[in-house]
Amino acid sequence: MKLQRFKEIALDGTVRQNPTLRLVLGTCPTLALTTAAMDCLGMGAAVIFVLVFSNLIISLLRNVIPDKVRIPCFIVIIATFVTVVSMFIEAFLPSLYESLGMYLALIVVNCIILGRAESFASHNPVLDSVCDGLFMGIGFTLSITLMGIVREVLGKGTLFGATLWNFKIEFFAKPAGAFLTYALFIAIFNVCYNAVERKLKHKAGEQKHKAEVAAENTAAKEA
Amino acid sequence: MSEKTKKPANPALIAAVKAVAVLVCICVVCVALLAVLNEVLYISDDERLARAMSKIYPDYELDTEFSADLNNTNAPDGQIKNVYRSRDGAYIIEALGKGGYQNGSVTLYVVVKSDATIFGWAVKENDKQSYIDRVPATAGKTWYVGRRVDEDLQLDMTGATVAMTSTAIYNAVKTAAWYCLNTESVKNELGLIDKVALATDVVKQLLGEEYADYKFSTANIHQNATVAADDPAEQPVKFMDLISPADYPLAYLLVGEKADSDNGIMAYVYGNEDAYEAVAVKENGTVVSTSGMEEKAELLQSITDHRVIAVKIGNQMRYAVIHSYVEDGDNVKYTVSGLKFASYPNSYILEVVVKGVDSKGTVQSVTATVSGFVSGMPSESNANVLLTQLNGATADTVLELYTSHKASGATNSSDIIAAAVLAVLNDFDAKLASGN
Repeated sequence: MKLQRFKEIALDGTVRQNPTLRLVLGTCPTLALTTAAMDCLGMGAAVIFVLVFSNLIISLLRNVIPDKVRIPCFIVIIATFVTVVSMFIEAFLPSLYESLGMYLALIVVNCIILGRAESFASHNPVLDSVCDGLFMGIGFTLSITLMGIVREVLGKGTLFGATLWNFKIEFFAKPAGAFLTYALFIAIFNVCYNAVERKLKHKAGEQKHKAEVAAENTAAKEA
Repeated sequence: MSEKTKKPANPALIAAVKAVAVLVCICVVCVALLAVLNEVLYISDDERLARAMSKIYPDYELDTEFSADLNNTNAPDGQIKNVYRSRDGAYIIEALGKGGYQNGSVTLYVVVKSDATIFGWAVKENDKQSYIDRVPATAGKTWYVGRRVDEDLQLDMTGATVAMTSTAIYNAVKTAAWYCLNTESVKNELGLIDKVALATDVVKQLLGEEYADYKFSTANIHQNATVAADDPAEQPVKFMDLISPADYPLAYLLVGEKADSDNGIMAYVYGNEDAYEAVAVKENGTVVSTSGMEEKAELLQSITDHRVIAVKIGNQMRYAVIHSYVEDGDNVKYTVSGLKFASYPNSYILEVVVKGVDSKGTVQSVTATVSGFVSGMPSESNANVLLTQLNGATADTVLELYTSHKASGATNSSDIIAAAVLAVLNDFDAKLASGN
């Protein structure tokens, strides 16, 4: 894989097509689990595992799986990896398993995973698909962990379980607080994203204009 | 010799077979992978127990020589799955509690110390209790902790927003207590007296032979359940205040059930195990009491005036109190309180208008004068839908309507409303049958 392609995939997964803040996918765990940053990291790690391995297998089998049964096949593969990660977490991280509760099993129906399988892994080579899964997972993890930090600090006065102060605004730990925080995150992220994109476009336009002027000048000199 | 002609292959069929084959192959590989991993990562019961105990009872050390008496494991509210003992004499009882959401269950490890007090509990597994995560992590260290297994374990679920799951937890704790009281070796070791059994004996003696085959257990009514005040303009009053005076507190509120019956009779037991006194209310409303209770005329009157009617909703007993009965032409207007039984929601006070149609009481309207719904709980609208759906219901159809409605989510309030309306219809039908 070329470095440029790798950069594109990495940028898509974490920024340009950030599943949580740009595509608004995987909202169920985003809203439900962001009361504790540690749970967000756990969920993020689980999602990365499932995304990477399901993308890997689906990409490997993309020429074998008939189009008509692709969705059931994807679901079976995804469900298998979710069960695997669930078994691992239950065996080795029981407290995380209890905290994540039913949301761990619900990764099966997380739109990010099925979405990437359908739109990317089933059309792209293995290495690209693995990278896509990895960076999509990282994008998801970063978004929910940041949200988790904000909600945990404001709603509980703790950070990764450690008490910071006694001050807390319980609203942020409640479902309404989840919606508000999520909306603010989407708004801020998109405002920043659009501003950067405009700046980059402007910069590219300026460079193009300079190049055109230089070309004209050169042509004029030659004439 | 005839020439064999080869039929052209059907491409659609081939594609379909290929699709199915691929899907089946993927399934088989996935199943094989999971089977292998299951073998590797399987968590044994001992490991689960050790994990649970590390949270609630760090002093736990398994007594490997102990062999549990599991001859009698079916309790009224649950089932005993296994029993372990710690070297320090504490019992760890794996008890399943029934009565959860969608008739599901919760299995707990309940630690009972050698002084017969509950030290803590932890959830082992659950069936259909999707909101069990809402039970606070600290619950196992607070709810029911410090209570003796031979006392009347009342609901203790502060802060739980999962009424049905909490009820299953309550039933599991009660089942663990039941095991201690009904297993001779454990009972003797913990020095327990089955006070409920003693109270039941007094009640049975009071009721006589006719009620010999009734099975009595403690009634699941919440301590804070309310009923309509005598003056409808006044605020509802706490039911327990009416039947348990400060100077003569109620020891046990028992419900007696006959096998295959959908109704129960109520018995009120006062005093202590040395000399229990009891009041019982028969199906027809007759109140009987042990000798000596005559002095408590006010209490007896209060019990008579606030007659509790026990009806079976789903597989659980629920309770309602009928306050007034006003005839208005063909219609009869009842005021009835459906009693709170779990942590949410509260008691409902309903006005139910009933009319006799084809010799059967038929609901004309149901209005909630006091809605038991707790603000912030989901599905209040669903609870209100049931109030409307019960119009036209008879005693035979209430449970049908309730069952089809309950799946909508307003589980606890549905139980209370259905119990209140069913109690009214049973009362009306009984009056109709007796020509009153």
